[in-house]
Amino acid sequence: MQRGSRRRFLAAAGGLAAAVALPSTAAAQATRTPFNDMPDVIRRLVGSAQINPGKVKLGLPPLVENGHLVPLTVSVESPMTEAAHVKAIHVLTEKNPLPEVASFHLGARAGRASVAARIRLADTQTVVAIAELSDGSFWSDSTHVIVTLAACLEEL
Amino acid sequence: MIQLNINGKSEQVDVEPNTPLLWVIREQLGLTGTKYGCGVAQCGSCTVHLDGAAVRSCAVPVSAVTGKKITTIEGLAAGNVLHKVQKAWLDHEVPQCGYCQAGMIMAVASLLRDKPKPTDADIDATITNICRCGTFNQVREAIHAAAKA
Amino acid sequence: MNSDNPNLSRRFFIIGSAAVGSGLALGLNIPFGPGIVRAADGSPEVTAWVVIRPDDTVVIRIARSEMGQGTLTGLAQMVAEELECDWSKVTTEYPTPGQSVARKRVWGNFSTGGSRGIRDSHDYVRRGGAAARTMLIQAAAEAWRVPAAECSAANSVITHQPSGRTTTFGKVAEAASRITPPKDVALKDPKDWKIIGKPVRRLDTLDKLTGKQVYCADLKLPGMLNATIKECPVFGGKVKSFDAAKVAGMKGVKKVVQVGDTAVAVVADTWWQAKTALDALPIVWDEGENAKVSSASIAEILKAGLDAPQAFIGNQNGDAKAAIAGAAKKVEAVYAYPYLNHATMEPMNATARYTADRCEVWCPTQNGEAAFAVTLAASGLPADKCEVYKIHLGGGFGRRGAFHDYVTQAVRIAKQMPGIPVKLLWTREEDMAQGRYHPVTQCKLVGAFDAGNNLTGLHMRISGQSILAAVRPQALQNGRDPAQFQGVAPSGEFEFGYGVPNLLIDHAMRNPHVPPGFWRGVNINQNAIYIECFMDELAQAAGQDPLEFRRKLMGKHPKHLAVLNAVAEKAGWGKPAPQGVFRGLAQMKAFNSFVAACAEISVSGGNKVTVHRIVCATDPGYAVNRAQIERQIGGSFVYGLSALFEQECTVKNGRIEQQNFNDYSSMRIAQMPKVEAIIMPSGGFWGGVGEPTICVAAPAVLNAYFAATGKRIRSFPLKNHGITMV
Repeated sequence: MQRGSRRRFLAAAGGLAAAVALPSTAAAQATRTPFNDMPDVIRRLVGSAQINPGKVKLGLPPLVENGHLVPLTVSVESPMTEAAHVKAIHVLTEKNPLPEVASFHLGARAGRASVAARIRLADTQTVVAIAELSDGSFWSDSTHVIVTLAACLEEL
Repeated sequence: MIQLNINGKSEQVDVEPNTPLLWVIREQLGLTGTKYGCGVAQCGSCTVHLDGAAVRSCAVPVSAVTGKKITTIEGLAAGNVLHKVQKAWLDHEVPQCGYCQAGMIMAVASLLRDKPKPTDADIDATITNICRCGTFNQVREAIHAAAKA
Repeated sequence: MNSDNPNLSRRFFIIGSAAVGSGLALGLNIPFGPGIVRAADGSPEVTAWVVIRPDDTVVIRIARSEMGQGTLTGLAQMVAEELECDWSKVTTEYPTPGQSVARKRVWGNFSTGGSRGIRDSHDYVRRGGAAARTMLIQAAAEAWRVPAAECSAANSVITHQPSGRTTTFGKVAEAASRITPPKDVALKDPKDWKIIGKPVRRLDTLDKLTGKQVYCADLKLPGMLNATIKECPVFGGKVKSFDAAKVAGMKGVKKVVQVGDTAVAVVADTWWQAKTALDALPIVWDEGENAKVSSASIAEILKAGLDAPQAFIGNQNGDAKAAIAGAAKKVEAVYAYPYLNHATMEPMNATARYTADRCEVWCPTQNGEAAFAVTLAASGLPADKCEVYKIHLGGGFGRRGAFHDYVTQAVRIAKQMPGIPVKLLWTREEDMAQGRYHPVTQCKLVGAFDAGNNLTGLHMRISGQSILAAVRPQALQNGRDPAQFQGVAPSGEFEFGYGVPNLLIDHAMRNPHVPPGFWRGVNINQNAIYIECFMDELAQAAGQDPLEFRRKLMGKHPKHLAVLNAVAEKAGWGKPAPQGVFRGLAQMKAFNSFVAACAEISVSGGNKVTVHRIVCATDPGYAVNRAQIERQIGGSFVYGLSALFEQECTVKNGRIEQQNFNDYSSMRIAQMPKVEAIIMPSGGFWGGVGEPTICVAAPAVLNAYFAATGKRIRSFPLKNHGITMV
C-alpha cells in the first residue's frame, strides 16, 4: 500500500523521480504514519502540468531531533522581473496530516525568490518544494528529512 | 606537592589537599576506572582500597591518604592475571552497563580479604553499592563462586 | 546531502539502489564514487553490516546503543547466525550518525528505546548477514570455478562439498566485496538457529572488569578542559545574572559562561576545580511563574481530573457508566503514582569541540542520530561538518534517547571556546534537578458487580501528565495521548488482557510544568499497579481467589493467560505457602511481550517487607539470548521495586526537592529477591525484553502485601507509609 503510493507519487512528479531519495522499506514499515496521496495533492496544485527538476533549491537539515520546528529555506533561480518571476512556492510533505505545510505567493515585486520558515514534520519523510513561474512552468526540488524522535513512538 | 603510593607506584601530584581522592585518581593520575556516581559516599562507584580495605574515595580528601597504599581497579589484577573476583565476574557475566562494577568489584575483593567465605548475611551487611541495572543476583552468585575458587 | 551536485549524487544512489532493490532491507549500499568501501583499517566491507579482516576477524556494525541490556551482543548474534561465521572471531563497531546520513541510513534506525533494539532490526540485520554470506560463497566459487550451489559456509570456512576444498572468509573478503549484492536472500528457519537462542557470552564484559571500559565521563582528549553546569532549578525559569568575578580567580578556572537563556557553566582545567568554582558562583535566577508550583498544588489539579466530565477515551466497549449505575455492588479505589527520575549511574555528560569548520561531539546516547540532529542545530553547521561519536553508556533507561539537552549544552559551551574540546559532566545533584521525569498521575477505578458477583463493568479514569504532549505533540491523536493507555489498550503491543463486558478507560490530561520523559517501561509502571491491584480488590469484593477471578476474564486472551498460569504453577499458587509467606500476582502485555509475576513476601512488624522471591514469566515471541533475558528481568525488578519502595520526586517552589541518592535511594543487594525466570517464547512475533517485566513486580508485591496484612496501599513510594524493604 505504502510502496504503491510512493511509486504513484514519483510518477506524477515526472522527472522528480531521480531527485527523490526513497525512505527505507524497513523504516517505512516501522512507522505507521500513512503516506499522503501525493499525486492527488500535486494535481490539485499544478493541474496536469509537467514538473521539472531544477531551478529550485530546498534547504532542510538532513535530520532533526524533533519535527516540531524545522528550519526551511527555498530559493528559486529567477530574475524576478515583470516578464519572468516566481508566482508562488508550495512546500508539500509525504506524511503530515495536512500535506501542504507552506505556501508563499511572490511576484515581481518580491525582489528575491527566496523564502524561509519553520515547519512541523510529523515523521521521517520526503519534503517537496514546487515553484510556479510566471510563464506557467513548474519546477521542483526535494529532500528527505529524518525525524529522530519519531523512533521512540513508532508503535503508537 | 603530595606523594601518593598508587597501584604499587609512587606518584607526586600538585593538588589542593582537600581535593577528594576520587578526583585526584581520575584527573591528576588519569586513572578513570574509578567512577563518580554521587560524590556523597552513597553509591560506592568510587570504591578503592586503602591498605587493602575498601573506602569510598569521593569522601576521602587526598591529604588523608599519604603513607597508605592505594589500589584502584586498574591495579587489582596481577598483570594479565585477573583477580579471582574479576574472574568470577567474567564467568557469571555480572556487568550490564558496567559503570558501577569497578566499585562493586573493589568492595567485594575487600570483603573476601576479610571474610574468605562470606555468608549471604555478610554480603548483605558489607556490600551496599548501588547498581541501577540491577545485577545483584549475578553479583551474589559470583561472590560465592570467587569464595570457592 | 552532497551540495556540489545534489541531482547527480542522488541519481547515482538511485541507480545503485535500483540494482539491489530496497537498499536498506539487504543492508547494502553503493558508495558515492567507485570502488570498495573500506573500514578505517583498510579491511573491506562485504556489506555495510559486515567487514572481514584478512585474519578472519568479523567486524559487525551495530546501529543501536548498548546500555547494559545486551542488545549489542544480541544483534551481533543475529548477523553472525546468517553469516555463518566463527562466533569467537566476532567483534563489533558503532557506525557514526554522520556516516549514516552520508550513506542514506544504510544501517537503519539508531534509536534504542521502547524495547525495540532487537525486534525492530532482526529482519534486516539477518538479511545483511545472509547477503554477505552469499557474496563470500560466490567469491570462493568463482575463484574455484565451481557452482556456488555446491558450496556452503560454516564457522567462517567455505567448503566446496564435492571436492572438499576449503577457504576462509578472510581470504575471499576482498573479492566478495566487489560482487553485486543479491536481490533476495532466504533466512534460516528458527529451528536451525545455532547462535540465536543460545546464551552466548556477551561481547562487552571484560573491559568493564578492569577499568578499561571508557565511558564518556572518562574521555580524555588532547587540550581538553572540564566543565560543569547549573540550569535554573525551576523549570521554565531563566538566568537573571551571575557574578563571574567572584570565581574567575579560583585555581584552574578558565571561563564562566552563560549557556542559552537558562544555565551557567564553569570551564576549568579539572572537573573538581570547575565544580568547586560553580558551587561558589553567585547566580540569580528569574524563576518565573512556575516557582509557585508544589506537589500539593499538582495533586489538587490531578484529583479534580478524576471526576472531570471530559476525558480522552483509550479503551471502550459497551456502556460502563450505565453498568456502574445499575450495579448490585460497586467497588471504588483511587491510586496515585509519583514523578520518578532515571538516576543512571553515569550522570549526564557530553564532550564537544567546535570550530567554524567542524563540530564534533562525544556522548552517551540511546540514539546516535538524535544526538547528531541536536549537534547540527546547536552548532549551526551543516551535516558534513559535524560528527557524533557514540560512547558506551553508563545506563540509559530512557533518559538518553529522546533528550539530548546535555549535548546542546556542551556544544554551546564549546562554541564559546573554539578549538578546545570541553567535557561537560553534570553533578549528581544537577542530574536529579534536571531530569525528564516519569509523569505524575492518579487513577480512579470503579468496578460493578451483578447479584451473582460477576464483573459487569469497569471504569478506569487516569488523571495526569502526558509525555507526548510535552515531547512530541505531533503524535497526539486529536489531542489524545495513546501512550497513556499502555497495558490497557484495545489492541496491539499493549493490549489489555481482560474481557470486561462494559469497559471505559479514559484519561483526563493535566500537564504540570515539570518536564516529562520516558522512564523504563513508561506508562505500564503505574497502569500495571492501577489495574492489577484493582483486579485483586475486585476479586476480594467478589469473594474469589485473585487467580480464579482473573482467569474468568481471560478466555479471549490465551497468551496473557499462559504467562499468568506459568507463574502461578511454578510458585505453587493454590498450595499452602511456607509459614509467614504470602503471594501476589500480576500480568500485562507490554512492548509486544506477555509478562506475569508472582511475588512471595513476608511482613514483620506490619511494615518490614522481605521479598523472598519473584517468579516471572515472559513470552517475547523469540528468545535471542536467554542469559541476557534473565538479567533483564532481574534488573527490571531492581528498577521497579526501588521506585515502589523508596523513590519519588516531589516538587516544592517549582523545583524538584530530591538531591542525591541519600534522598532518592535505590535497592541494595541485601534487599534483592531471588528471581526465577520462565522464558516461554511462543514464536510468530517479536516482543521486547528490556522493559516489559518491570511492570509486574510492583503490583505482585502489593497484592502479596494485602494478603499478608489486609491493607491496600494506593500511593507510593511505600516509605511514605513507613513500609521498608528489608
